Amino acid sequence: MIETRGTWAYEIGGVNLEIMDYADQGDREYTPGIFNVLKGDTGSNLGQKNFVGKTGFSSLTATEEGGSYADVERDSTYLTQMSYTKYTGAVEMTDELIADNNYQSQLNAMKDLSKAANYDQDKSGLQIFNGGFATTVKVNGFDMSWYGDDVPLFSTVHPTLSAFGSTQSNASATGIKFGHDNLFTAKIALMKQETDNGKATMASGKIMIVAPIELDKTIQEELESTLDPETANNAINIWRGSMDVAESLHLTSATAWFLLRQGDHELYHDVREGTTLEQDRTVKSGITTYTVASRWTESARGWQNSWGSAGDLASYSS
Amino acid sequence: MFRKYASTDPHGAPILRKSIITGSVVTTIMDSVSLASGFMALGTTGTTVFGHVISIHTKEGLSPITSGATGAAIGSYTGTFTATSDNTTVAKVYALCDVSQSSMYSALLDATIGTTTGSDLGGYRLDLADEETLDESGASAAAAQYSIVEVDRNDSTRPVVNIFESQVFNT
Repeated sequence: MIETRGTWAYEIGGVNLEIMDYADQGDREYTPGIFNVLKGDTGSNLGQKNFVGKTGFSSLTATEEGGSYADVERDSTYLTQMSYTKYTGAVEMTDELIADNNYQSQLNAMKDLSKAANYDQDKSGLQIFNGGFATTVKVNGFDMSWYGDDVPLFSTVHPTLSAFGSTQSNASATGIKFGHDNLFTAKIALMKQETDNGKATMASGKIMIVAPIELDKTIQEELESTLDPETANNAINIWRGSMDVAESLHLTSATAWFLLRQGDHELYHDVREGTTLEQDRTVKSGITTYTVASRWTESARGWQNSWGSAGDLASYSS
Repeated sequence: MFRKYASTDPHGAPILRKSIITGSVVTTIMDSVSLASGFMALGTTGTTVFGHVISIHTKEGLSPITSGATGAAIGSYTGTFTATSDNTTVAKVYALCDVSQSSMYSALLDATIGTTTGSDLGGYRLDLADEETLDESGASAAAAQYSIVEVDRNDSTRPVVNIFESQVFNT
């Protein structure tokens, strides 16, 4: 979109009303940083990435003296193929607008383009949760690279390639709401997640609750009260200070909530090319074009150590 | 209303032309417009398209300071301007228009996209319903004022179009 002196009615010197104060909403855009929630992966020079893993060996077998040793087996995990999407923006400004405006800092196109890129990277990262109950690649305009098991990231029926494992769930089948007892249900479900060949896992990271701001009051009550906030029997609040919290304005559901085992989950914001800002002036029209470009994807390289509930009390099986 | 979406021309700046607004016409930024008797008029169904209004300027090249309506206060211009009846000879307020067929716009439809076959498909064509809306029911493969490129990647209710029947370049 090109901007001219006609675009900005109040900003041009000597024209229109005298403006006493100028509020720049661009400076207040919501950019808390996606790496507080997702793991980061940058610096690769590949056009596409593939991820796969393996299980450990299956269990040992009791064997009698002189008997044949039993075989053990280890299996592959599903392949995740990850490709990047380029996100761009451009704006043009005439020479006259650049020269005549009274708000050189506020109308600085590079500054606002940079902020736009930061904002969209944050927003993109949170779509991994918004789209986590389906397998649709494009979620609210951003492309996801989902784990290769062909079910949603938060699924009740994650398959396995191992004959020693069985289908697992990392989602609530009944859409349980966030609350004192349901948090325990979710934590147990998270802790009981097994490797693809059915072995218990050791996880060390602190659990993080990812939730929309609509749950802010409930989360504060559950995590900061001295006593169980849902009863009057003076039971201690076992959740007090026990988990980290990431609330986001980019989560579209007012009820859905998620648990992540920090450091152990497999959810990534993967930046192939960082934000590039450029400008070029067309001499025959005196118009300068400003551009921003960045290439990234959100990838789920596995589902273990994450858990989600739509929080809508609806039956869910997918 | 239309929104500027992108350009099929990777070489830089858009192609801008100014046109003095016909007397008494109410013009809003991004309106589709045509030239009538040499002056800018709002686009209507079937007329060839001059371009889209990028900005509105006084004859000195600056922004209007009022909405142009009778008695409007200073500071009341917010993107819509009412020209005086003698604008073409006195005030000469003009619209700066992007006349390029390379410019792509995300367009508002007068009905839900996809209701008529082709209104969400590249290669189909649409006519204006009025200067800020396209006629969804008119989607067809035959020539029309706008050609559909794709569905807006950020808003699936809107097609992305470019000017097909141009008053400047023709087709």
